[in-house]
Formats: sequence, structure tokens, C-alpha cells
Amino acid sequence: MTLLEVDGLDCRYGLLQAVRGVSLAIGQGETVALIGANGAGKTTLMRAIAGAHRPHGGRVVFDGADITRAPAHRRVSLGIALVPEGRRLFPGLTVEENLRVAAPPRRRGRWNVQSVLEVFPLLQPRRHMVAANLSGGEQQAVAIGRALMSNPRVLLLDEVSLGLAPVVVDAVYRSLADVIKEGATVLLVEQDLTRALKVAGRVVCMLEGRVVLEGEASSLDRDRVVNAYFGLRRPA
Amino acid sequence: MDAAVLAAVDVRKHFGALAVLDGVNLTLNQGEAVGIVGPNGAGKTTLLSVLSGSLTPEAGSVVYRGRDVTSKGAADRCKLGIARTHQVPRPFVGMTVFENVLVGATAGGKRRGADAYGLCLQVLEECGLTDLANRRAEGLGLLQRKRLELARALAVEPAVLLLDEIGGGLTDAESAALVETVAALRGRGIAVMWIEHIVHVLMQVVDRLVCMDAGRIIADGPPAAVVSQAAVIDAYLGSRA
Repeated sequence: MTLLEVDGLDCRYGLLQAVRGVSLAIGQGETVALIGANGAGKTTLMRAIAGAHRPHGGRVVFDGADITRAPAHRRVSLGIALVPEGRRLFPGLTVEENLRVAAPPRRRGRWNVQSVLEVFPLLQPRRHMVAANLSGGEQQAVAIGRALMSNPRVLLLDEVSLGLAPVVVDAVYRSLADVIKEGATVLLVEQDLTRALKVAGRVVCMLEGRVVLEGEASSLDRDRVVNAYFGLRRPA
Repeated sequence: MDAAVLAAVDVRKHFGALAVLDGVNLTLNQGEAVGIVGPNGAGKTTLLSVLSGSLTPEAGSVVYRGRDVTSKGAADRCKLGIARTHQVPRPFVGMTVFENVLVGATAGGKRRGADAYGLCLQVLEECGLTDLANRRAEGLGLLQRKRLELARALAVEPAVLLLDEIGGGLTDAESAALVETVAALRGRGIAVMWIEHIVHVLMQVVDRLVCMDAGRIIADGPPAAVVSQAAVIDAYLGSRA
């Protein structure tokens, strides 16, 4: 069953068109990795789904309802949570406070401070530390935890591993695997193709605002992805 | 035999503990277009800033037409014929589009009066800015600002043009026009170094493609050969392991 659908989406910043007629459907329980070079439109697409960027054209449909005009906070209560690029924590709040901020009264479910700390054990000893003093990996874990606190039906993860040491990325992905195993629906931006292919069922590659390749992770070989990523045609 | 116009020789630059340029050697020849690619943080823009003189390297040198210009600032290098654009456009606000271009045309005192105006009009036309000539720079959108970056650099009548991401967000037709413009500049004997994430656009016009990663040049050669190198693909998409 399709949970999230993007239909002919156009997003602009002034004259600059960042997303050009993108259509995408994500099924309940599916994990989709979005890849593409800088400026391909990945972050803008995520922001448009989350309600942080108003599209110029097209539709965003969630669970059968057109939410194109719904503000971001309304989408959170519907069950869409974004982990933004750069984490964007409240630096002066503690780990626990950052998590609690995101617990809306209306959405009950499996996630609370305790269960988030269980999935992200690296946060356990940091619980009362202010976010500004955390390492990049710990901040990323808090940002994902904060998104989970709203008990989302779809989790949008932008640049999961950007700026993190490989060993920290491993830890974040181990926790993420637990989240996915529980049936979460996830759309994530990941630059590391090997990792994206491992964690996602489906991979979508964007180039200059358009989807240029889409397929089951198991059916995509690296050469095809490379050609799509760089916008190359296979040599004749 | 290729004649080198601009070269970076074992250039090193740190930001704090981070080696942003870790021994970079690169040569740009007369009338050659070279594309620079590489993931975020590879050091592309820093290299361009070292070449244009807005950053001073800690070690190594920049050689322009056989002469060491490492100690010369950006203004002096501009007068010598090295012009650049900025990734985040930096127009002179409070001035019109025409005046911005005029700054380039009169830099170094090479041209004055009607002579400089004539050049400005020609460059504005070439960059599709004629209709905006009397608009103030701060009123321009991003794409127009990028065009103004290019126009101001061209008005310097450079021998070397350093371009930093001027192609993002363009329509296919605009990309094609930009490729044509760069090809025409190269045809006039201007050496062009162009940083761009849109690899297939670069490949339509550059003679050589250089890929940087973590402050080093990991590939330098014919575009098709460079994009198929495993090291280049790994730099973008992570290693195969």
C-alpha cells in the first residue's frame, strides 16, 4: 500500500528550479534511499515532503490525503518526521529535552525517551548533557531520536552520514536497522552507495532536479548507478 | 607543445588541523578548458582561491606565465589576467549591473570611458544581461547573479578564467548556452578552469577533467577516462567494500 506519494513536484528558489516534475511513491514499510550529486534536489524534495518548502507545482499525498498545502507542524501530527541536514538540534537543551520537545500529545506509539535511548545506547550516558557539547554522531542520534519521538509513520532522513566518522556511521546505521526492522517507512539521503544499497529496498537517483534512475537495490549494479549519478550515457 | 599559463606547484593549505590542499600540482594550458570535480569538501574552491590570490597557501607556489605570483594578491593577479567567479555570487551591492561589469572592464586601468562602456555592453549582451543593465545588483535572482559573476569576470578580458559552480539550477537550454559560451571563450584562447557538480555538462566542453578528494588530485586526464576510474567513483559513492 502506498503511504507517501509525490506527484509531478516542482520546487523553485526564485528562478532556480531545484526539483523538476518529480514523481515518487513509497509503500508502507519500505526503505528508499535517495542519492545524487550536490544540487540534485534531494534536500529540497525532502523539505517539500516535510512541509518546510512550499512547492511551486505538483502534489504531496500522504495516506490518500492531499497535504500539499498543509503546514509542517500539521504534517508532523499526521506522521511525517524530518531529520534535517545538519541536525538542527536545540543547542542549549539537553539530550532528553531535545527529545521531549518532539513528543506531541496526539501521536502515541512505541517511541518515548526510554525506548529511544535503548535504540541509541550511545546517548544513554549523555542524557543530561546539552546538545551543543555532543559529538557529531551523538547529535545525529539525537536528531533521529527526536524525529522518532513523534511516532512517525514515515521518517525522512537527510544526509545520514555527512561529516561523521565511519565508525560512528556504523553505530547510527545499526540503530537505524532496528528502527527499520520494526516496520518503519523510511526515505533517506545517503551519499555512500554501498551503504544505501545495503539498507534500502529501493534506490532513487536524482540528477539536476529529476529522477533519472529508480530500482530495487538488489537489481541495480554499480555501473548503472554511476552513469545515472554523473548523467552519463553508456558508451556505445 | 602545450604552453602552461597557470600552474599550482605542490600547494598546501590548512584550515586549522584540516589539510584542505595537501600537495596539489595542476597545470592549465593556453586555450584549454579543464573541469574540476570532486565531492563536497574536496578542496576545489580553496584551490581556485589560491590560484586567484584570495587565499595564500602555506607552502608551494602559483606560477602564471612562467612567473611566480604566489605573493601577489587577488587584485594584482586580476590585472595580470586571472579572473574568477564565486560559488556564492558576490556582486557589488548598491551598484547597477552595468556598474558591476564596469568595475571589471576598468580594472587595472586598461580601458577607460567609451572604450570601457563598449566592452561592458558587449559582455552584457554575451551574458544575456542587457535588459537588466540598469537594475541594482541586490535586486537580482540567483541565476542572474551567477550570470553577473561571469560578466564581471569576462569584462576583465582575462587570459585565465576560473569558474566556481555557475551551472547549477539551469534549464537544459541554459546549460547548453553556457557550454557554448565556455567553448567560445576557449576558442578565443582563454584558459578556463571550471568547478562544477554537473559532470555531464562539464564533459561536453572540457579537454581535461580533474577529480579532487580530501585535498588531493586523484585523477587528471581525458574526461571519459577520469569518470570511469574506480578511485573517482569511490570518492563520490563510497568504496565498493
